Amino acid sequence: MMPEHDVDSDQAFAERVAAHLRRPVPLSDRVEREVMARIRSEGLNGGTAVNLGRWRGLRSAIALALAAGMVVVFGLGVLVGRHSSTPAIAGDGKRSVEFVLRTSASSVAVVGDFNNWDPDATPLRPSSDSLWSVVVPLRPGRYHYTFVVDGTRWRRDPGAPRALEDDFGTPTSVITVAQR
Amino acid sequence: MHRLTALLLMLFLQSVQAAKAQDPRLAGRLDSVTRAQVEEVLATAAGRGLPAEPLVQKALEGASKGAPGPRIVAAVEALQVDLSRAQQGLGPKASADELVAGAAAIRAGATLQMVDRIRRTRGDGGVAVPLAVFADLVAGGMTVDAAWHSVSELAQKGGDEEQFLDLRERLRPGGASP
Repeated sequence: MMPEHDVDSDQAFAERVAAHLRRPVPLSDRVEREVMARIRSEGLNGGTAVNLGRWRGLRSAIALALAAGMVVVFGLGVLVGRHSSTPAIAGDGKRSVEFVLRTSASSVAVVGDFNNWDPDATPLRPSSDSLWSVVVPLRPGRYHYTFVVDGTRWRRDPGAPRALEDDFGTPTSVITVAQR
Repeated sequence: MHRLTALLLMLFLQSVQAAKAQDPRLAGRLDSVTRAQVEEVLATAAGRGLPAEPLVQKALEGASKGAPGPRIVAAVEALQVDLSRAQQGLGPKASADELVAGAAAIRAGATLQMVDRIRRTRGDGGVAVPLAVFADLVAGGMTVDAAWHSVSELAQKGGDEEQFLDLRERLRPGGASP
């Protein structure tokens, strides 16, 4: 079972890095002088609309650079132990979906609508740091699933939406695989 | 003579439907009584043109989780009712995926009018993902009205499937920041 404090610490770590990336980027005096000179120059020759447009472009570039950092952070968030549903094309109309769970256990399996809820069908493999994972090719559609830890404990995927229709009183998650 | 032909035809159709309702995956996973009752539901579903696969999977889920037979039958029956309602809202040409998503949306609180409206708005764009996202948002704690507003707004803008999934990630608790 993936302890809640693991999720919290991942989030706290991601937020700390994100906060660092959100801080203003210090520009050298030379760059700042050139930008201000360009703004003054455009302001005399190009009119307000063009001026703002260029400045917005500069701000957009800075924002894009920050956003790229954010993508790295949130990508890392997925890698450090949550369910990863970034399907890649697997051929035959299927997409590769990676199921990931961090837990201390001797065995973990995923059961769901894609394997007849058979606990022996899709075991996860452990890697370092108690991270268990498996890649399953799935056709587009909506699937219910859950993890079986040590053959007895049912564990919902903490990184995926929970199923509303939990008919049997045990935790269930859902994944929707898009067609395109 | 005509009566005999009609009777034979009826018996033939019933046997075809009963054969459709039998699924070898249920053998060994359900006791005989539960299996017979589930197969009755499957036969009813086949008669209405509903997909059998989600019903079989629901029964197998119950079996895997060790649920008692009556509870498994009740869950399969409830899903059959939801699929049937989804079919009313989406029409007879809806795919199995769309019916499954429609059933989830209906269980989450969508009305048939809502389901019909999203179908009309999406046209050929497919409704499986938007309806699934609606159900997931409600399951995540959003009100039906708020989830519906978000999903129908994106549908009107012509959002694609990935955009609907992004919307869900942004809005669900613990999802990515906007």
